[in-house]
Amino acid sequence: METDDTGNRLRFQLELEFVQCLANPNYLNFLAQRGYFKDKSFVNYLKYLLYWKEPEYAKYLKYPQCLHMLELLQYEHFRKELVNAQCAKFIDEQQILHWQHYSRKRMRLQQALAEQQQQNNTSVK
Amino acid sequence: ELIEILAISRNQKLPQPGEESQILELLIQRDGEFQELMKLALDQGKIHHEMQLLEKVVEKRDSDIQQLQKQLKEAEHILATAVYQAKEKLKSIEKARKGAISSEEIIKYAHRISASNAVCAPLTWVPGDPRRPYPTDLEMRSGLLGQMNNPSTNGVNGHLPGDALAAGRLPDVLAPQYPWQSSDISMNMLPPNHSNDFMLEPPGHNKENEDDVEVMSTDSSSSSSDSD
Repeated sequence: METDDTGNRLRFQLELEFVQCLANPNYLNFLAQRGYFKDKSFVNYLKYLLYWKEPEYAKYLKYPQCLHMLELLQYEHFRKELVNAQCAKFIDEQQILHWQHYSRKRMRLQQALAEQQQQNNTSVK
Repeated sequence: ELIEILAISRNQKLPQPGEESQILELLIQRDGEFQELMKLALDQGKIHHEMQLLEKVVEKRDSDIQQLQKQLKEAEHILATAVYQAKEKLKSIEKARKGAISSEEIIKYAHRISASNAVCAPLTWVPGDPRRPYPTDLEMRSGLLGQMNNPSTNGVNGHLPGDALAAGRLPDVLAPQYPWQSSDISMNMLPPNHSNDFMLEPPGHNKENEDDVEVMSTDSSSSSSDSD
């Protein structure tokens, strides 16, 4: 019973790590080029991994964006496209840009605030 | 009048007494019948009048019933709408209750994913910074998955392990803590356990949008999914 439990815990940790690796588009490109996406049992495994969408499992994810990639991976068309390096690069760029979204927004707000203060100062004078 | 004429003619024509009495009797008979018919006509007239009154009453009742019917239909419509909306509300209440998470948990989770810059870039990020919104090559290798197999390729990410910046950073472990070590996880929490192999195709496997397909098990075949 104990070995069963440890086995399950190990499996949990491995699957947790693996599902989050799917957030890395370069890794996905890597998998696609080595033909993993053509393997039916691998595709079944990807479908099985969808259980991470449940809230009681999702709370362990550090990179929840991997779930979106997992959903996209259910589509054969997406899996086929990932063989292209440009596709992976595009996804990578978009991901990074999106990642920076809030910091850019905050910078813009700060800039706007600074400009406003400057205007107030000049008008007071 | 006829009787008078007959009376006069009777005075004038004596030799026909038998016929006259017969005719008189006939007349009387006819008169009687006529009187009766008159009475009948009167009665019928009364009945006809009554019928007309009753018809009017019936018409009134009919219109009352139709009015009532309209009102009942309206009421039914209003009630049906109300019931429908109430049902929808109940459904959404049920849904909300199902998805209820304590605000503390949500805040904790939000803190966890933001503090590690997993979902929001660090404010000092510039191009060239090796940090990414996904586990990098280095992180993948240093996790449990990476330890299980010998790494044979370089830089999946384009970040070579010899990258000075990367080497300076402590490898990020993917799982934030190890809650299973504090026995938070009961057997329910572990990944769905199955008995079949991944090699078996679930029914309807070829359809891209199939959601309700049975999932297959891991066992030893899951090791084929590990990257090398």
